[in-house]
Parts: sequence; structure tokens; C-alpha cells
Amino acid sequence: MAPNDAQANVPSAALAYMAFNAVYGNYNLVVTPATPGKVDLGFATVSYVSLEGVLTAQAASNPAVSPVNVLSGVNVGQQATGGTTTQQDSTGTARTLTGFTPTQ
Amino acid sequence: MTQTPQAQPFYGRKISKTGVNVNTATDNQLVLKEDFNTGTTTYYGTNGALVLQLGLFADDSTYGQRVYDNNGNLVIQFGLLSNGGYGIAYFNPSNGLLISFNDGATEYKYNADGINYSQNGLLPDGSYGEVIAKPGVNVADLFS
Repeated sequence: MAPNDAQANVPSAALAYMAFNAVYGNYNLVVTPATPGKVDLGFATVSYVSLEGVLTAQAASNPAVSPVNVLSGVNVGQQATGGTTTQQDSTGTARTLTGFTPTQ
Repeated sequence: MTQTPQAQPFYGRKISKTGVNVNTATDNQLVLKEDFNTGTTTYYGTNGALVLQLGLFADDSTYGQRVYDNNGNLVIQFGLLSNGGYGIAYFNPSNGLLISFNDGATEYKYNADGINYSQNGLLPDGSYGEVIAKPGVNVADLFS
């Protein structure tokens, strides 16, 4: 029995029926229902975004990585940032703010 | 239906006093505030009161430099003033009223009622000299 759309979008259920492409990391993984015998051209396939793919995309868009420390030195060029930039004093208190804030 | 006013965003630069987080500081906890939206730079004293402002002043559409006393009351303004003239103006810090104004050619002095009782320099009729009016009389009325 081929899975329905709901099953195809629930990985735990879908895995009971499916073997999926080993290629990992894009949104266009194609899951083909397991079936005995020959599969003819045109056999229905279900577009599927894997849970792993979603998590990877989230991690990529929200990296849980702290900014690098900036070492003293001389640099030339431009830097564009959004929001605000703050500098801390020797006690760790943010003392200087430059940029946009939602309120005065 | 009542509309809730939108919070006014800030664009500029702030520097807070020692020990104060600039991200949460109120204006009287700052040392300096540069507002790029209004074009005004403000310096604050140790007690949190205004001491100096430069740039454009949104309250009366003038511009220049303002000096405040220890309590944050305006005492001197240079630049374009609210009377439309360019010069130096002195204010009574207790009530904000103009005390004197000098536009370079003429010095004007005002009493506590805001009456211009004295002019010195270039006078309204084009002559030069000093005129002091009787109590309650504006110098300009003497030339009208």
C-alpha cells in the first residue's frame, strides 16, 4: 500500500514504507514508496522535506556561534551591520551604543 | 478606536555614565546622546541634567548651540533664535524668558514682562545710539 500525503510528511510513519534518497541537505529529496517488482516510469513520487533538512536549514539561518574576538590592528575597508553596536568598558558594562534601537 | 502611539525609534549614538548599561539607560543616565534623526547632540551633567546641546532644536525649529545651568535650564543660545534673528540670546533660567539678545549690530534687553525696554547700536530708524524706554513701553513703539 502506498502511503498517503500525511504519512509521507511524518518521517516516523513514512519510514515504515519508504526508502529515501541518500543525498542529504537539499529540500528536494524524493521519497519513493517501497514496492515489489519492477517500477515503471511515471510511478508516483511524493515530494518530501526531511526533518533533518529542516533542522539543518534552521541551524544554518540561526548559527549558534558567538562572534569572533577582534584583535587589535589596522584594517581598511567598509563594514555594514544592522541593529546596534555596543562597546563595553573594563567592567563589562555596555557603555557606548551606535545604531538603531526601537525606542528612544 | 484609540490608536496606540508607536514608540519612536532611535538612530544615533549614546554613551552612558559609569556603571550604567547604555542599552537600558534613560537620558539622564547618559553622558552624550547624538540623535541622527533630529540632528541634535546633547551632553548631560553628572546630575543627569542637560548642560550643552548642539545642532537642530526640534522644540522651536531653531539651530545652534545651547548652554544650560546646573539644573538643566536654558541660559544661553547661539545661532538662529526663535525670534528669527541670528545672534546670542540670554535667558532667565527660572522662567525661560529672554533677557537680552545681540544680533551683532544691536543689543536688545528685556524686562521680566518680556518688554524690550532698551536697544543699543543700530536703531529701528537706521541711526546709531542707545534708547531706553519708559517702564512698560517697547523701544520699537517709539519708532512706529
